[in-house]
Amino acid sequence: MKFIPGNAQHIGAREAQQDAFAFSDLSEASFLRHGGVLALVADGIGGLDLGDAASRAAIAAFLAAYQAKRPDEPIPEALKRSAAAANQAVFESGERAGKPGDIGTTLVAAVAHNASLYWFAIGDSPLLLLRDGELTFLTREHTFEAELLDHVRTGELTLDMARRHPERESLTTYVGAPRLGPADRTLRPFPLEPGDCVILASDGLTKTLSSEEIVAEFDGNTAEFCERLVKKVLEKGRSNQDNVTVISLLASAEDEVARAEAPTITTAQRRGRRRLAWAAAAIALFAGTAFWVWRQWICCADLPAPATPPVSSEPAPPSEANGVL
Amino acid sequence: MLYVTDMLTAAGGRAVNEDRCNFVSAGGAVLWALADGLGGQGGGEVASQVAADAALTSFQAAPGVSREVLSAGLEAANQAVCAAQETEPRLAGMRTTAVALAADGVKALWAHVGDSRLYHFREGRVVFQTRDHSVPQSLADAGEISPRQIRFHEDRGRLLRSLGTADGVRPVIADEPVQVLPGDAFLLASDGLWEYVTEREMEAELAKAAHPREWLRGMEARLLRRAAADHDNYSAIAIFAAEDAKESTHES
Repeated sequence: MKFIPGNAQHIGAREAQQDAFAFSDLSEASFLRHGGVLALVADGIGGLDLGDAASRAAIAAFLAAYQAKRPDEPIPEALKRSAAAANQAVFESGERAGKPGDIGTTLVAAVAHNASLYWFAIGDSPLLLLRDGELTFLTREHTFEAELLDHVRTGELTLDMARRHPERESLTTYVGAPRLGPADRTLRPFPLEPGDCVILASDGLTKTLSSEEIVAEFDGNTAEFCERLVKKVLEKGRSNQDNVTVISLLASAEDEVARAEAPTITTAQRRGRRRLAWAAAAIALFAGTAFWVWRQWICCADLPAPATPPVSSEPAPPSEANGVL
Repeated sequence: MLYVTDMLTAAGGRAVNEDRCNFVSAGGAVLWALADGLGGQGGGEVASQVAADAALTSFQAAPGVSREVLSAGLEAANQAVCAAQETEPRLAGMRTTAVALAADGVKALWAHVGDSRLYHFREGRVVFQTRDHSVPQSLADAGEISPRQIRFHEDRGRLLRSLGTADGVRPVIADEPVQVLPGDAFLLASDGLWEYVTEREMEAELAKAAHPREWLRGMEARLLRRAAADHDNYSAIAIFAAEDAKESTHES
């Protein structure tokens, strides 16, 4: 089975983008054979700067750890090891900022391998399966509601009281805690079918759109699907709209390589800065060329001309090991 | 084959739990039985209990994995319900569903009456589920509604077959036993459970469960998040089949 990726992201009505996402290298055939395709979304918790740093640190550490997977390591173990590395990285960045354990992020990681799905998730960023027009939430969020329902089971609370508890949506565990907390994770593979669409997102998606609205946007093309979902979220016009990130993997039975519409995968947070860097480089190149032309043809033609036109700056290369194909 | 079992039963949003589940092992085989009682003022509780007990007792006396054994068990269950109906006027109208699974070291066979279900999972996916003896299932079989519309259909409670009716027991018994492989899982469930948990969700929770108990708890958590306040009793028996060098045993 081949997996075709898609992704889209928006800051919503917030001042900072605290979501981050990544895919592993989809073209590295020998890794795909034992490691499959990894997709990651992290939603930083907390105020400005802190959540941003946490989600990026988690994604970078997880991706690096997973891409070091050896062929004989089972995927569930590799996911757990990578999550521990991500937790350590976020916790340490919290320590460096003088706020140990105060910096945190959710994390949802999914690996598609052969015809199976594995996952490892902490927090409330959803992992969804869209099959035959039906949407399934594969993970259950780590919110206080789960503990409240334990009390419903024992009869201490009624279902109604649990559902109306003001703190039911508080996160009970996150990445960046002193020790890696309990996770929603597979021990055995979850079977996939051709045509399945696996979606990882930040809760900005599922808090705004219903399952029916999500299903309605799907028509078999995964890149456009993610963009349409983000667009639909923004169309709701919520005044305090959260960051929203949607990435997906479409399972295809075809042996053909991904169609042309598969997008280049990049960390969207870097996209803006990269565009700026390229624009600056282009301007510099143009200016340098113009200067050279002027020196060569317009002014002072008998002076020695430089062999190549001078370029004043290089574009900044992507420096973080996340999401680069 | 080693069978690891766990059970779950709760009244839900009702005052009384009229579901009943249990299992017994004898002669190198195991029988698991689940019954969902209804009708007669308070009779549902009695019906499901006498039916399940009778089926298990019948199996203990003559265990095996065959159509004859299952047929005898459900016949005994039906007679027990009919006999109990005679004991008190308030119990005259009571009925119950029943679903039973028998397995030994190599094979398994099931039978059911009503809308309590059996699911067989292999390599993490549903490979078989029973068809309900209910109005919505008939509509789905006739193509008038989609299978997905069975859950929450307005006629969901209307059974076409049950134990305790005058026209005798008409169970559906699987034609042939299936071979049981290590890694297989089975789920017996009353409608109070399967109404609120989809098959994909059953598969998702199965993938995460180290033990049948975790599987049941995962499904129950989903149910409790979305159930109506007056939701039905819900019950399930979850079974994992594992490699075992000895003869068939079971633990819970």
